Amino acid sequence: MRLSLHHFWLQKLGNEEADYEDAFAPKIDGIIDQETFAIAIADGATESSFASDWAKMLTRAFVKERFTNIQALQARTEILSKRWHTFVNRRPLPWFAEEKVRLGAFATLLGVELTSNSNDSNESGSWSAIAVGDSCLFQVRNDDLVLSFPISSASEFGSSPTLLSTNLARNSQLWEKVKRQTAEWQSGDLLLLATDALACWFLTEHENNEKPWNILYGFTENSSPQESFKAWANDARRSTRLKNDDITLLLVRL
Amino acid sequence: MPYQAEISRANPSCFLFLIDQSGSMSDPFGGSGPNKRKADGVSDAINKLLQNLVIKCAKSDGVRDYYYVGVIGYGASVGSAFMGSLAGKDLSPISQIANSPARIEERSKKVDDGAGGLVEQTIKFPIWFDPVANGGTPMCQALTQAKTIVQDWIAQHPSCFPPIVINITDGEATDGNPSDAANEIKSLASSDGNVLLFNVHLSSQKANPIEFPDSDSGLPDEFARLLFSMSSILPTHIQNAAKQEGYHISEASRGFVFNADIVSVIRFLDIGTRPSNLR
Repeated sequence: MRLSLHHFWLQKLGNEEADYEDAFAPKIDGIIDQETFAIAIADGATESSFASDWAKMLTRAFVKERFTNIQALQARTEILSKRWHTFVNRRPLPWFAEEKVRLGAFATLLGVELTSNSNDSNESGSWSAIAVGDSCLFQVRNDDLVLSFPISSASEFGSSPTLLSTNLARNSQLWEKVKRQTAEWQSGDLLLLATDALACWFLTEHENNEKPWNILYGFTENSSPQESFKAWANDARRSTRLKNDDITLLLVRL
Repeated sequence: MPYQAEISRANPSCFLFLIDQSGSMSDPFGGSGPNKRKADGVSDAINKLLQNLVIKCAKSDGVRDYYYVGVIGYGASVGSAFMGSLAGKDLSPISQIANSPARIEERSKKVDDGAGGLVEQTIKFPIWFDPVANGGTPMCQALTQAKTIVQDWIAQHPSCFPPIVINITDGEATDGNPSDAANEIKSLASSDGNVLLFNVHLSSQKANPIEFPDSDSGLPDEFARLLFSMSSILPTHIQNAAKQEGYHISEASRGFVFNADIVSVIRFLDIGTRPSNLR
């Protein structure tokens, strides 16, 4: 399986780069030639502390271990939660940070594993995805949106999704809300993984009969991809077409 | 649409708390807890509000100044009620409030252990204010002072999310009818909407707690009815957030509670993604 991977990320307008609380993995761009491949994005919740560390841990762990079923996700969350607690408690914290640690960090997670069919010279295959919260996967084939997961309309976005927490007690109602999806891919397909603000814009555009994937994929062909993406996103934010939030986009061209 | 402005460090908003420290606050409190005075109810309420506001703004790198906060005490005198490094300041950034409690107490709390049981945890509880009960109840004067502070804030932050003024009292003003002063505060506005005035009524009456009522028909006395009438109607997004948490809310619900706490209002303010499983 041969694919090209591009990533774009941008902190909320008005914030510093260090304030960016989404995460993605792997952090590479370019041509990948592998039998199987895994990618993930996560969105750390603004109202929790150390959420970017939690989001990073989740995406890295997914890419390494590819837990696409709920039992494996649950088991992995327990281990990662212990690791997160060790990390944040490595030095004494002020009272408010201690209380935030007790409340827990929260993040979405969208992980996708791609596998090729061995019998057709890598021209097709399948993918399997797992999602907690409102980070989205879109599949585009022949200039048409053929699949949207786990959210399929812009009206489904809100400010209070149920998210994966380092505070395991907060996850008790979560497991039944975890979404899974498997589907086929063909050579030429485009997969887009996006955190909520960009995903909401994408679906809104599509609902207005636009083809937003062309705008997004266009940045990969620009001579300065990150700069052109940033300029476009900040402009869209100022005109309120795009909600002002951290944004992350992974593009996979198969 | 009003009440849509983004609350950020670049465009912060403002909270002003008014706390009744008059002599009548030494009377018994009709709400929860035996042998509690109304003054204990006030200090509990303001400490809990400040704690929750700090925690809302706390991030890994410290406390972000999404809000500037002031506390006006009214009783024997009227003015900034903070002691220590915050003394005498009308408004301070929330990060300074976070770093300047008078002391930090440890309290134990039973919390869900995630496996169907309860586990006892030690929680740090910062104290900024101890109970005070002394003098008359110059509520009109306190509201007038609040108006000046909020007016100055809006002049410097004309497009901010509108300031929120929360008055915690037994409602028994001794310097006249506070309705006019309350109306003057509510008539102030940023480009995003009018200033919000909420009231917390801590009474000696042993009546059931009431949260965000939409009419004064079930309220137990004239003081409750007066404070209800002074309170702003909750903005739509706060109504929606309150409904999501199971409160009975109508379009006429006001920012008023009787013998109950109003900490939930801080949860209802939007500074970004708030997980529904974070309570």
